[in-house]
Amino acid sequence: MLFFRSEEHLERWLQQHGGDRGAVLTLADTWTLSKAWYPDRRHAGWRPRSIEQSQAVLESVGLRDEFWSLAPR
Amino acid sequence: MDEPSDSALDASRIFIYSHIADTGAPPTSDEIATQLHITRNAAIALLRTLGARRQLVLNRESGEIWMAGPMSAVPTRFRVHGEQVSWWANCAWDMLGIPASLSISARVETGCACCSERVTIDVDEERGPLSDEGLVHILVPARRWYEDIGFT
Repeated sequence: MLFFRSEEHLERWLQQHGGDRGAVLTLADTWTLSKAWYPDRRHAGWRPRSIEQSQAVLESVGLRDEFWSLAPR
Repeated sequence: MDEPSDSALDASRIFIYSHIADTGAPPTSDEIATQLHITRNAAIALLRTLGARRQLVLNRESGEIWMAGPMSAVPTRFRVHGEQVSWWANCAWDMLGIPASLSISARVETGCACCSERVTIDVDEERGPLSDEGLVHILVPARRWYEDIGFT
């Protein structure tokens, strides 16, 4: 998961490395996702999530397409 | 050897994440053993169980903590500075995951993966990143994240 200064820089990098384009998030989107995905694990009540619970977290921030599907095929 | 109890796993997880939050680095198995008053072998068993449950990623050679998401034990291109402590993040997502998880304001230092130009992102505890210049590219689809978490 890499950081790029702009869409232009991402496109240039993909051309240079021959990589497929994955998902692209703005910093604001990444922050929203981070707040939902990363609870503070210092809390005694923290418990690991099931795949279904993690999928629900992704969906809660609008990440619903196939790229974000956690279930094995 | 018996599987560690849930209470031992909870105690080790809380200690590990508190240690990282306070010092910027995860504890060694020796430090975990000392803190929890257990043997080093028992501490290693705790780490292995947490690793098997995908709560940590361990260094394959040393057996010590490599990743305790969103923090990294080893230097990366993503550095997060809090008021007193700095951390390495595993990836571009995690560079915001650290202040999000710890509920702190922070300054993130990274570089563009294309041109390597250094970029500083100030993050407010409440509002998040104060600039929206730049983007995060996620190459690997979600269902394959754990096939090779280091590459992901």
